[in-house]
Parts: sequence; C-alpha cells; structure tokens
Amino acid sequence: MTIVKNVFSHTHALRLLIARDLSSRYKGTILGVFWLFLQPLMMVVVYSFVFSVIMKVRIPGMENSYHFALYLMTAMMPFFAFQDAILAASNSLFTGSSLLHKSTLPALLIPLVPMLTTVVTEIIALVIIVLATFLLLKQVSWYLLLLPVLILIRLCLSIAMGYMVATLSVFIQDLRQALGLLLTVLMFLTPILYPVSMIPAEFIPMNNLNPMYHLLDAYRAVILRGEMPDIGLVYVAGFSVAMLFFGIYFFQKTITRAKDFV
Amino acid sequence: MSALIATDLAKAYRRYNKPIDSLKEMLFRRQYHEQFWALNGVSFRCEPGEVLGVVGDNGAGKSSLLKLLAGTMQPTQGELIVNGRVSAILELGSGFHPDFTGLENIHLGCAMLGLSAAQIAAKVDDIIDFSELADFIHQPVKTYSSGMFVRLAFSVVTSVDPDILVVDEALSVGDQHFQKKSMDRMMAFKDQGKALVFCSHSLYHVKALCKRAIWLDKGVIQAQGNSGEVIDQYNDHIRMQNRVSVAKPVQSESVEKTDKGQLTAYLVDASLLRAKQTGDDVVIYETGDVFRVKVVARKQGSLAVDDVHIGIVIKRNDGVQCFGASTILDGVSLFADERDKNQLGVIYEIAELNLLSGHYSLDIWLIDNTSVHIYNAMKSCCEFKVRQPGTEVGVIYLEHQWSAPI
Repeated sequence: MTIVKNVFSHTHALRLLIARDLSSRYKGTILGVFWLFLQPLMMVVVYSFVFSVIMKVRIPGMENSYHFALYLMTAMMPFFAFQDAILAASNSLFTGSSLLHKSTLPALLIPLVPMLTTVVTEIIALVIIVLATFLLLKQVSWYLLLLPVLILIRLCLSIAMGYMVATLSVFIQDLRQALGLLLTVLMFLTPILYPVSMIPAEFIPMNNLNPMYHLLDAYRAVILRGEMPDIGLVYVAGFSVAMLFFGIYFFQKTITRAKDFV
Repeated sequence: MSALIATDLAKAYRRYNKPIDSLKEMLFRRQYHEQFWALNGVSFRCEPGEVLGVVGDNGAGKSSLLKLLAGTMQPTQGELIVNGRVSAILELGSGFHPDFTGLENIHLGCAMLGLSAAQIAAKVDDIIDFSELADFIHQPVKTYSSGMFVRLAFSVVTSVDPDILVVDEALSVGDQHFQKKSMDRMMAFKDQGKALVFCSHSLYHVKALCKRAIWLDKGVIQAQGNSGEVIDQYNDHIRMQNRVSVAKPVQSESVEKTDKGQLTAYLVDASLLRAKQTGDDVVIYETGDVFRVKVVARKQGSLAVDDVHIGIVIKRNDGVQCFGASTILDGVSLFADERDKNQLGVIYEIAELNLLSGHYSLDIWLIDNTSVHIYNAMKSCCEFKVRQPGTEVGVIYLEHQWSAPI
C-alpha cells in the first residue's frame, strides 16, 4: 500500500515524464505532435486501399468494401499499443538507468511511464478508427462509451506483463530479443487478421483461453458491431487485475537485484 | 531530534558472473555471488544546524555512504534514520535529461523531489536567477559546459528547501564566483538549522566548514569527531603514503646487535621526555609545547669527548625535513657520565615546538667533529604527533602580525 501511495505522491513527476516521453519522440521533427495522428491515419488509408480496393477482401457477413480494413485496424491498434507497452517496458530499466540509480523516484514509475504513454497513441488511433467507421460504414452506437473501460483493461494487462518483462529482461538479456518474436506469434495466433469463425473447431477451446482474443473482440463489438461485448470480457478483466497484482509484486521483489546490472 | 542517525550501516555489493545468477539465487535460495563490502559498521549522527564532513581516499566508501544518505541506494545492514527531506547533489546533473532544456529539467528535477506543479512554478524564477544561466535556460542541457551543469544542479537541489543537504565533490567544478555563492548559500542553510553533509577532497574546506568530520577508510570509520582532529589524522595518513624516502624506524636494540667493535661510538638510547602518552602509543604534543629529547651514546675509551657529536633532524612522515641542528653547529660538547667517562648524554630542548599538525619522527646522527664521518644513526625513531589548535596551513607556525598599511 505504501508503494502505491509513494507512486501517487509523484503524480506531477509522472505527468512531466510522460510528456517528456511523448515529446522526445517528435522532438526536432518538423511535423511534431502531428506525427501522433499521421501514423494511424496513414494506416487507415493504406489498409483500406490495399484490402478493399485492390484485394477486395470480403469476410462473410461484412458486405461493405471498407469493412475488412476497419475490422483489421480495430483489433490491430489496441494490440500494437499492448506490444509497444511490453517492448518499452523491457527496455525501460536500461534507458532509465540514470533515473533508477541517481534519483529517489520510485522504481515502479520507470517502466510505468512508457506504458502509460501508449494510452495516448491508442486513444488517437481509436478516435480516427471510430470516425472512419462512422463515415465509411455509418456505424455508431452508445456502446462506444465502453471504450475507456476497454482501454483500462488493455492497460492493466500491459502493465501486468510489462512489470514482469521489465526486470526479467535484465536478468535474461535474450528476452529482449525474443519478445519481438513472441509478440508476433501472439498476433498471428489471436484472430486479428482473420475472423474467429475461420478457426478450426478443435482449436476453439484454446482460443477461448486467450485473453487477448476476448479483449480485442470487445473492441470490435463496440466499434464495428455496435453491440455489448461478449461475457469473455469479464474473464480478461479478472485475469488482468490478478496479473497486475502479481506483476507489481514480482517487480518489487526483483528490482533491487535488477538494479545491480543496469 | 537528530537529522541523521546511522547505526551500524553496511553496504555490500554483490558480484555475479551472470545476471541470471541473481534471479536463480532468489528462486533457489543458494548463494551465487561474491560479496564486497563497500561500507561496514558505520555509525554516526548529524544534528540540525551541523555541517558534517566526510573525507577519505578514493574507494573508501564515501560515495556509497552519500548514496545511502540521499536514498538512492538501500543499506545491506544497519539502520539509517532520516528526519526530513533530503536533497543531494551526488554526481553531475544526476537525473537531468540531456535533450531537454534547462527549464524543462528544472520542472522535472523539482517534481522528482516531490514538489507539486504550483510549488515549482513559484520557485522557477529563483532557480534560474541563482543559476545565472539567463537565456541558456532555454537550451538543451547537453550543450551546457560542466560549470553550467553544476550551477543548474546546485540551484535546483538547494531551492526545494531541504532539511538535509548532501553535497559531493561536484561543487568544485563551478568557478570561483559560483563556489563562493554556493558556499554562502550552504552556510545560510546551516544557520537556518538544516543539516549538511559535505564530502570533499579539499581538506582545507572540510576543516573550515565542518565542525565534525568522518574519515572513512576501506569502508570503515577510521576516525570521527572534531573536524580539525580528524583531518589531522587523515593528513598524517596521506603523508605516510606520499613519503619521499621510505625509512623503517630503527630501534636502538637493533643498533646494539650490530658489531660494536667496528664502531668507535654508538647511540644507546633516545627518548622523548615528559611527553603525554596516548592510547595508540604515539606521543602527542600541541603546537607550542616544550619538546625535549634525551640522547645517550657510548664511545670507545680511545675517542676524545670532543670528537663525538649529535645531530637531530625532525622529519615529517612524508619525508619533509622540518628542522635539523647539531651540537657542532651550536658549539656544545656532550656531557660525560660522572661514573662512566665513556657514557655520553645530552638533552635537546625546544622551548616552543611550533610545528603544525602532523606525524613526525627524529633522525639522530652520531658524528665526528668534522661532521663528515658518521659513527652511527637512528632513523625515524621517537615518533610523535603534533596537533594545532587553529586551522593554519603549512609545516611550521611562524610568529606574525597584521597591521594597517601606511
């Protein structure tokens, strides 16, 4: 509990560090903050063009030609946010080693900063996707109000995993290399590029255990289908919160040892 | 209430072959590391309004101690009680982000010390003012010189109104003007009843600034207490390492073992008279005390008394010869014992021993009346220390006065 209180007493530092993290990416660029919007915007345009105009990919039950591109983006953007958070967390202790050693900032904040930053990029991407869905598919619903909850669950899951990989990558350097690979495998195993209906029946129970599937499907439910997310979302929420406690516990338990090596 | 109370503080660094070993150690509860104690059994107190100096050679554990005080590192053993907010300048610009401007770093630095946005806004102008960075405050700190860096760091760290200020060597980077300014600010802190821990290789500064000091050597406290005394002891230690000629003390007994048939005269004994003996067996004088040495020699019957003389040189432990005199120069003869004509003796007296603090010894020479031939010598015998009441520097106290210019 004191740990959490300690983190909250540094909220202003946290805000500044997040602002610094965001602006450092675009510092010195001509377009500056505009890059934050440009990236997801370009993806919507390029995906729509490739999948809807050139390849004309159609998924059963989705008749509009722009449907597939948006279908892809809706799941992909939160997944990318998750991926960015994990990768940033695994590097955080290395890049933040001077903060870790030379300031009295709680160590818990160091991986937290880049992970919280992913919320900003995720929100911008989601706003663009929601607008595009409205413009191209004429789809909008009150269920969009659930998006903050989904983002929060996504964040919980990211932070839980992020805290674990943050110190583990110090002890096992190979993990930083392996993470990119593992995340790609996870992306392809989760129905992001294909609908869940294409999964062979014998793999369905396995897929149902994948929290990422339920989470990303909830994004699609509220944005594309305009319906209440599946009950699986409760499973993800519970899983994320449980993992979050374990992740913080694990991080606190290992951080003093990890400090010796960065 | 003391500002800092350290009880039996110890810090061990662990060395692992591979990082994974540390994780294995935690999981399997088996030892995979070699330990290196950077600090061991360090206990001290620091009261509000006190300046505590920390001195010691490189690698003595000073930095480790300061990091523990600053809270950037946790002790392995022992207890450290800190009453109040600690602010520290440890290494140059710790926590500063090179790509960000001085101003951004002020905000960040203050926020990391736990200040709110409003509190920071109220202080920013003062900080910029004190740092004298003017327009450079809008430049990224990576373009700063080391002097600009330390000015900014010092301004930030001292502006947050700490109760305990920990200052490392860093300050020596600033120019004379800024050093004076920062020194004044530190003194003002002291007067406001804040505690200061000051670590420096400039022993003069430590002696002048601090009332109390700690001398760390190989991770343990060698001495602590009145800064003058601690610094004097540390100086003795430094000079010992830097001494020019390494002369082992020759005891009078070993002289006796040499073949006395070859010598026509030899030294029997030399001892300091009426000296206060202290615990560690080394005699201590205060500057200005009476200093007396009794020297006894033996000559062969064939040798005339006039042909045996004694020279005494006072030598500091770094090899500096402070003063030497001989019975020839002063035209004195040795005194023969009434019962044994071949037993010669003399007492060498200095009415006011005006040496400054240091660790000294005597070289005693037994010479003939041409002062060319040496019968016998005792080197580095009669060790003694001198402690001075003031903070004058040098080897010897010279009488002086100051007066108005014409």
